[in-house]
Amino acid sequence: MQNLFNFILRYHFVLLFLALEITSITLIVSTNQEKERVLLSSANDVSGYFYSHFNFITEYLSLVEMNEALSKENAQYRNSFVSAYKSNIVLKQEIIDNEYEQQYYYISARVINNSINRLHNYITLDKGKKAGIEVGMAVVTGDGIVGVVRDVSENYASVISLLNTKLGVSVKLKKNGYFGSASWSGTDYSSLSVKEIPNHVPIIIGDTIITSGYSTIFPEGILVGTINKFDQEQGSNFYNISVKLSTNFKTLSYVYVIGDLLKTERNELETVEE
Amino acid sequence: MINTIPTNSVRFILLILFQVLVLNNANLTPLNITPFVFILFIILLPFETPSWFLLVAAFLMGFVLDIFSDELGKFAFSLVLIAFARPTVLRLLSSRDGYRKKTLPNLQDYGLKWFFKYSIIMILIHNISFYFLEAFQLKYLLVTFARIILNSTFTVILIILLQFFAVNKRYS
Repeated sequence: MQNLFNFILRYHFVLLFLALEITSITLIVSTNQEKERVLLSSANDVSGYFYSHFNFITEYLSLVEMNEALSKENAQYRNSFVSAYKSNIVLKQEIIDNEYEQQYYYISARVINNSINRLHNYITLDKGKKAGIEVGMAVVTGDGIVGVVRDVSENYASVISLLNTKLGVSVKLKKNGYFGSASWSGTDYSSLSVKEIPNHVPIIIGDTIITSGYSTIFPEGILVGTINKFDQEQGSNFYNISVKLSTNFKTLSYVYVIGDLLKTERNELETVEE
Repeated sequence: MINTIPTNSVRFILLILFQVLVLNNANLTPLNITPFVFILFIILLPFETPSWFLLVAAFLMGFVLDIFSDELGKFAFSLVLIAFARPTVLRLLSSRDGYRKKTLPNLQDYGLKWFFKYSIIMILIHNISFYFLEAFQLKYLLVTFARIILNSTFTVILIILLQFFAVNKRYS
């Protein structure tokens, strides 16, 4: 026993060092695994609270862009209002609508923290479980896609940004429907690389890329961006495409979280098939 | 020596706030590098700091920074690593008669050349550890190296500028 104490006393520096490093590695591994969320969720509440109280510093600087984006969107919605159309209906009848069923609903949220300078970027939103946000929901702006909800606490949500090398999104060409997968290459915050589009497909610079709707996360047809560069690798059957993102991640301020009412139904069906 | 604890506690808090609220939001440089100014806290702790305290303080600071960066463990690991390396680095850089009594490992007491060598070694150890933990694979090797070098350059410049600022304040 005496020897043990002496040993600990003598090597306490190295032993403490090893203990702390092992703790850190455990933390790294547990945040990389998708299941152990308890610690991170409470951490979310702490940092979320902090960010939501100090966010005004950076928000103030981007007020102009924010207003412009919001008024542009307002105009869009006004255009789609019933009041913007002249009515041609003479006799109005009550119709029970069986042909359309609401599938997606939108929750608006404010970005209180956002990074673009790491390989794995995350965004924090000021709404969480209480507002109906769940893990796996899509996040978009009026301009295009932003990311996927990774974790929620009572009042905050943490979102995997599209600028995260861990995230891949299923996309397609708008003009002919050929699909591929998009992911971030880790350097430029305004571009994304798309792979798996075969090289017999005719594409030109400026073609629009949208989400494919093949995964249950993003609805079909959300704008991703436009092609600004492409080339063919030697000996490969696929293009290397670089896409200019339509969302400006540097000035992100308000976003919509998309919930899918039919998601569980679809997931159940798809797991049965396997 | 009496005001060592308050000074360092205040520095601990101020550096974290400066990092989280200001630097993390300023994306000015190519590859969007954020200088890691908080390393200054570990660099400036007094020579007599007990070794276990170095490690514990580094871990605490790392953990707080990790909470604000959405992925736990990476800052904690890297900061504990430089806290562990610090006594060795200081021994390697010491002159023949060691360090004088009542001095601190800063620019004011040991000059620009010494401080530059000392801080760049600490920053490089931290950044190599941090960026490789972040990439976690060799696919991004080139980007990772570019980030390490750019970040270390900006961090060392910022830290030395902050030191000049502190020196001026004390003498005026």
